Amino acid sequence: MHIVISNSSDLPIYAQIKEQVKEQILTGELAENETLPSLRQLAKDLKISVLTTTRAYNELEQEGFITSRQGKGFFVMSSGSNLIREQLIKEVEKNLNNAILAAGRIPMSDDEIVSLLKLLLEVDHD
Amino acid sequence: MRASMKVAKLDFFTMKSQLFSYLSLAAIVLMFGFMGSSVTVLCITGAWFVALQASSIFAIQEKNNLDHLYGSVSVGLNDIVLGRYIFMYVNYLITVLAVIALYFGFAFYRNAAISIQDIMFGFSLSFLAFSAITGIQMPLYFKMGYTKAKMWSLIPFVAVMAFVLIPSFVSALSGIVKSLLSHTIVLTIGGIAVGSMIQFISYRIAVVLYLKRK
Amino acid sequence: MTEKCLELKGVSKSFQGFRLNHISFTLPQGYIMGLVGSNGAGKTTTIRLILNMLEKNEGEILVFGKDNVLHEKAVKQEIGVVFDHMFYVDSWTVRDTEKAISIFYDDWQHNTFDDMIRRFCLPQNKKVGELSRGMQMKLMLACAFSHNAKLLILDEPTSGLDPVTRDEFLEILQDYIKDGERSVLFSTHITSDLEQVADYITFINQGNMIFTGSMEDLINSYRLVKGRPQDLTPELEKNIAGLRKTNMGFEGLIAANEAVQYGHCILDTATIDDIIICMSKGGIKK
Repeated sequence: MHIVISNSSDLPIYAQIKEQVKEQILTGELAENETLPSLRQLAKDLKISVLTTTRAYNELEQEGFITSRQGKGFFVMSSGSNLIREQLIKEVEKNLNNAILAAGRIPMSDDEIVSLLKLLLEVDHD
Repeated sequence: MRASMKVAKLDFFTMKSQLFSYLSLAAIVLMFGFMGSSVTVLCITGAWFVALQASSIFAIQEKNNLDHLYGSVSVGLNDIVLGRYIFMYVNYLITVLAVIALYFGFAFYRNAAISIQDIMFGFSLSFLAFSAITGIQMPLYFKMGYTKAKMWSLIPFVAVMAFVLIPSFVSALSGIVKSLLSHTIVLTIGGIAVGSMIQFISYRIAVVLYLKRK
Repeated sequence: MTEKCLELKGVSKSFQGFRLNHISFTLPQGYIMGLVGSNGAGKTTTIRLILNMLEKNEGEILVFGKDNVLHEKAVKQEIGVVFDHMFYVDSWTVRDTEKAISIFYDDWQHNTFDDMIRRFCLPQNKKVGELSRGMQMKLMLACAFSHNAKLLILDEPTSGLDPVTRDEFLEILQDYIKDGERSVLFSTHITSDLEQVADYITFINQGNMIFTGSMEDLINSYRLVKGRPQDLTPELEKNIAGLRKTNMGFEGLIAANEAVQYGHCILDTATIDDIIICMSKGGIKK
């Protein structure tokens, strides 16, 4: 696991850690069932407070991305990457719904919406 | 009890570097003394000398912030004070026993008579003198630290010296002193008893003053 | 449930002209707590009270659940102390220092001491009075580490040290608490040291306790408000600590929950230094 934090970011440090962990689970850099560094080792490596790493890990655990085993530390949940995918898909769904709503106000027809989407995808791929 | 022994041990270790100068000075003083004085006077001289020298541990304590050392290690306040008293006493005992041993040595060398009475006297009176001097000094040092207490601490020295010298000048007093001196056993035991009492009271006062020193 | 390593309850001490007033805080086992405040605020007094170098007038101090006076000797077996100045005899060598200190501890770890001396590159036979300030601090640290102390009490250990040594020191501290069993109370006014590694902060100002809690809570409890002169309403002025007025405008510290109403001004995150400086200058009617 590789984390780099910035002191000048708008995001608090614990949130930066969470984000980078989730990213690495998604890309597979953090494999399922892989052990995460201990709270204190992480705090020491990043030169931050133990409470900060504790908060990051606790929230990741609550959100279901990692799990802790008594005496053994924290592990990536086997469903971790799927969970993240699901979360991100929900995000896309939300944005698409917003777009549909916005289109409805003009109004745009279904076909117009779909061709606009196809156009944008083409542009994106280039 | 053990904790105060540790403090006394530390005190010896603290004074380690001064040992050579201390012994040399002691040797000089005693050499002069052995040229003709009685063992009684020598014991008292020895006690007086130890009392003078022993205050230097307070000087080192102040200079090196040893208060902080004592505060941080695993001993209680009583132990710190008691340990210092023990340190002073062991110094005193070593000196007096050395004087007595040297007395025996010289006596055998010169084939002179050995007076047990003089030895007992010497021990008792020197103990009394030592107790009186340090009994007043120690609480002062604990309360004020070496630098501030230095002036005040000379008072007991002067007082004891006066106490010893004045009777020889005032004839009426010297009569009383002579009759007192004839009761050796009483004086010996009395001297040790009074000395011990002074020390005990001094110790209790020192503990209270050390706690309230700031 | 983490154990309480150190607990102060309503601790007070009066001197002529200064009073430490009902200080209460708790340091849970396994964490670093910074004790901050301006010079003369009462940090050193608090530490002396914990070590029973001074008699408290009121209150209770518990170390690992034991009263610090009733069980002084047992408690001090578990405490290691570093002050801002060395407290060993100048003429001792490093070896002598070990001999002297180990007299007092049942559990003296000679190997640990040796390791630390080597790690810190302390010359074994040099008189400690001749060591540099940084090396003297490292010597005190080596002694503090070598008897299995579970609580490290540091009173301005890095004052007068260069940034490189200070950084080394922080790393050593973080290493020390790695196993989760050991804790650190770190009194300092070099707050940049704390900003990175402290988990908890207790802030004392002129003998009074202003705040105790996690570092995050402290930072989140305040905001630095900045605005133009016309934005400084009498109501705002009442709630500001450490107000600084210039021709350009004003700035000062306010409580975060008050800050919401002043959205038209700039609201910055306050650093620990900002908080200490502004609270020391005063202004808020508490």
